[in-house]
Amino acid sequence: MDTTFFILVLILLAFGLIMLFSASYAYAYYRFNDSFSFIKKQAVFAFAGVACMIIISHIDYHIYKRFAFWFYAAGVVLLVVALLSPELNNAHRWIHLGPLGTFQPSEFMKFAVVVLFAYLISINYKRMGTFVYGVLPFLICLGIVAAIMLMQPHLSGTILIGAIGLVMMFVGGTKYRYFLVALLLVGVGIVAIVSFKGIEYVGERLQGWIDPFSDKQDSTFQTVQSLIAVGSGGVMGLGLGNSRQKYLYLPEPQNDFIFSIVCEELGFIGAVIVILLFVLFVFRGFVIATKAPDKFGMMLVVGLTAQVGLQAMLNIAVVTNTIPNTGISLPFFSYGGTSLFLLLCQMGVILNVSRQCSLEKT
Amino acid sequence: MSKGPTLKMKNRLNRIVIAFVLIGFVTLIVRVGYISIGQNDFFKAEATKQQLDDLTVNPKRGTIYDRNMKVLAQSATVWTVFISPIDIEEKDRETIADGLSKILEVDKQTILDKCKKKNRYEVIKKKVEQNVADEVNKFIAEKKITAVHMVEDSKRYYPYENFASSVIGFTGTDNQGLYGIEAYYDKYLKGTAGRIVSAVNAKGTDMPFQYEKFYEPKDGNGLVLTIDESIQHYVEKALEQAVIQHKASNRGCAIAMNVNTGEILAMATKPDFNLNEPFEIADAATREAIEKLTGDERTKALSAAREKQWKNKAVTELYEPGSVFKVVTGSAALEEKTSSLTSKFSCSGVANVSGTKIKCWKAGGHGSLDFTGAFVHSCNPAFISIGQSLGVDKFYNYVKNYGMTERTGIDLPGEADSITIAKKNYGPVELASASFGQSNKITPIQMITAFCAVVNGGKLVTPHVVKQMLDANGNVVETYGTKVKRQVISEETSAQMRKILEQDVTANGGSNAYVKGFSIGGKSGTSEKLELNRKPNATQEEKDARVSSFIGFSPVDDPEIAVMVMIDEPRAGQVYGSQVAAPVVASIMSDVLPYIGIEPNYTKEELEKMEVSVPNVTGSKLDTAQSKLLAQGLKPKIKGDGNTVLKQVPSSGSSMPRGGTVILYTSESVAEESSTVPNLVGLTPAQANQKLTNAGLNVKFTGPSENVHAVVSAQSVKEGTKLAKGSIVTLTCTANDQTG
Repeated sequence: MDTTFFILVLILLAFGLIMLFSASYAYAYYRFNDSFSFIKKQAVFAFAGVACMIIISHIDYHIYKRFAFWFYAAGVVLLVVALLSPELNNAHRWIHLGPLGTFQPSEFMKFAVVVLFAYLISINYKRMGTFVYGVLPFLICLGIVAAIMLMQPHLSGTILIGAIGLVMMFVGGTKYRYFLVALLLVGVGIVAIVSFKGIEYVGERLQGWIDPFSDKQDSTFQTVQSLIAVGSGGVMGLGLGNSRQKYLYLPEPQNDFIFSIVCEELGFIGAVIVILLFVLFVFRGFVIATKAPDKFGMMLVVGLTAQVGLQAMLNIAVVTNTIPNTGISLPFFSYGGTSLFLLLCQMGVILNVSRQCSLEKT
Repeated sequence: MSKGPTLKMKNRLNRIVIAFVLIGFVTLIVRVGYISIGQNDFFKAEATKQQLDDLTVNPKRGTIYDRNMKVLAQSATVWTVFISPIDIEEKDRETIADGLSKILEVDKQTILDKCKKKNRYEVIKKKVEQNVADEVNKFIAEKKITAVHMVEDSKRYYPYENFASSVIGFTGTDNQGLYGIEAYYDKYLKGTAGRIVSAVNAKGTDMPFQYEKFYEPKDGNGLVLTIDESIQHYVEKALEQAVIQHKASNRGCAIAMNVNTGEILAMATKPDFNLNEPFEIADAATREAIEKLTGDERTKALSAAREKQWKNKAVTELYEPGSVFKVVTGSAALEEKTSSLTSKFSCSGVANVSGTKIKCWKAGGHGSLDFTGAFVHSCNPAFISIGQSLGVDKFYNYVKNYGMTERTGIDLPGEADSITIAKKNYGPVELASASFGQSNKITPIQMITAFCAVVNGGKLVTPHVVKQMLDANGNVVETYGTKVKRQVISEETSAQMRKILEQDVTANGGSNAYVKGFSIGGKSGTSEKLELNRKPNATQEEKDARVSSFIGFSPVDDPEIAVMVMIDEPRAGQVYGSQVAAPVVASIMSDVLPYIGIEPNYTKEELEKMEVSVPNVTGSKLDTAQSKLLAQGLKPKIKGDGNTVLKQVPSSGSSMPRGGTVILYTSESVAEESSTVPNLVGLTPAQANQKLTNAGLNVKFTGPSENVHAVVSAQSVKEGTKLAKGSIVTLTCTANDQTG
């Protein structure tokens, strides 16, 4: 097993839990009169997740090959179930699990897409240069997922899954020109959205993004509060636990905007450490991928690593208002029990791949 | 190799993807650095702005006292009620709006609308009294509402309402001084606001981490005025009556001033307004007229009417002083020795000044007059000569030295700048008219200040209304003493002037300003309002506009107090200062002089006519009764043949002059005799006395009944009334005096 990767995961997890406790402390206190209410649940899922991670690291990853289509099919079904589930926060993204809380099928779908794409690439790697094998199957899979998820609606999840898919296709060998076409299609998509929603709506959103202070009370409130948190941290931060923005200014600081609390409490230095941890994580993941015993294993690791890296990148970009606000959580840090559990399970898959390649030899 | 990843895959992953990863994350590091380090100051300020709650703690405004520490203006705690709409849940809106609208008497819909807003501070009502605030607190507690809050504020109360309104002034909604002393001394009265800075969470409640700083407010300084509540009361009472009686169409004002120190003992403008409701138009007719207007017109009329009622006439308005100003001309001439007490003047009723004919007020003229006579008769041609012999240079110097060209510096806002003739613009006609008080426009406070210098030994003092400043604990932190600006005339000239001015009051048996038992000097003035009188197409009303004024002082030998009364545009017939203003000064003096401890000193004649209280002799033996009455200087007149007094007229305790007759009935068989009151108005006091004596009634005079020009102007009992013989009829006399 790749110890470096394992330790990196544990460090990220520990760091994440500490920050979650700090960030959720005030909100939990005001909301539930119990400062520990979030960290307790998250810690339970974390322990269960680590246990499963270790177990899964012993399960040969090749068996997923057999379930590749079934995972995908199950993912689609779950997405539809969520779509039919009662609304939560103006969207149908969740399946309600009673005492276990809620489950977001898109989290599972990410894994399912990674497995399916890894499988498709591993059997078609020689024909990846063609459109029929190198583009079409992937396009269909992503198309179905995107269609359902946009209905929920879940734009950020769609973008994320699409991005993971694109990275895997790229590594798998799809020709450059198709990515250029994809870029063109994105351009067309943007034009379509602009004409559909109207120039004014887009203008407003754009204005809110470029100058969030222009309309502090409404749509950009969260962004403004996030920027204040990041900006008031300075080099060294206010000290662990000393965030002021978490006192109900920053809405739900334990979720998507936990990174701004990191910046406020630990400053620029803390932020760089977190980013470097993710960079190291991605590098180490790619090292494992490169040395994987087969193409399926490689693509699995590439997909799973890319998922964490992309999510972290997008999340931090949102928190710093580098891109407009979309709901993407920060892996290992943001609150969400099932999500963390699933993430750790996927880390187990990576670890199993690492077990089967002999890193020492190279 | 065929099983493992292809080289292409490895290359794509390890070169291109990693390049993207690096670019992405490095961009983010730069971005975080730019925000957290580069824009640190900006965001820190933003954070402070929202995380710290800065509460202003209002200081208490200083109290204003009269010179005897009676409270004239005081601040009391009131509350500002506000809501934090963002914390109000939809279901609570109705309850809150309903409850608050009932308690605070605010429109319910207005509150409902405010509840729907998305901020944290919406004022529902300001200046809520303590008892209402208690009700709000009760309501909040009962309904367990957390979004309704109150902060302390203060409100100004004026316990005497209209009293000295133009002097004290009032404050605005933010407790800022707007008029009078409240405005002039605002910076001392208001104090310094304190602050409480504390860290709060987004809901506005305190945060667990410790940050709180309290900057204590500093309460305002108190002020002790030179105003004496009692004197002010006497002055206001007399002035108000005169303004009504003479139908003054442009208000009237009065000033009582300590001639030596410059302390203002009383200052009044009538009609006035209620300091507790300064924005209400006090004058009913004006108010009704404004009610009829709408829109812009109404707003304009309203603000004009307010401005008018607030203005302190004694300080902010100009007038032509008329003959009162002759004290300046006269004293200058005596000081410069260009005239003397023995100078002779002749008046033919008109003076010819470089071809311009200037009339004396007395048609036919005064004939030959000495210097004192010129004052007593207020003869304009005589003063034209006095002015001419002074010459422009000297005359102008005194105008200037008496402070006519500068503000007095009184500690009240809005003191008007006088409009005087510049030295280079004096020609013979200007000198002539200025000599008897026309052409130069000054404020009443300038006139009385100069007058004080004339009689106090020649010192021009600075008039002031504040005596002491107190700190919040009542300790004196500053005393405002006498400021002598300059010596204008010598003590000797001043003494001469005092005697002349005494003559002015006592000549001809006592003028309207004469008060029995007290030595009073003074000068009247009746001025034309040249701008109105001579404007083309002037209406009759404008042509008739006059200002009647009088300044008196007492005691003559060692003056303490000067009183000025000015009635602007009297419209009830009489316009002369000696008729309109002098009796008001006399009335004030008769109240004020005993109050300030000046003992009356009656002449022999006065003592003979002193009023006595009729003793109770009913039931006494006739002998005893007679001797009791005689002892008081009263004449008994017996009706009947009994030995015991059964009834007396007037009854015991009545006040009547010595020499009056008391009728004593001694037998049941003699019926009470009665008599009809005749008309007495317009008669001389002697004629009236004769008529009443003939009717078997007793007479009592008020006013200058000894004046050679005195006439009865009012009688206490109406003509035709039947009265028991011996009853007292009070007659008010006025000297039919037109000497300015």
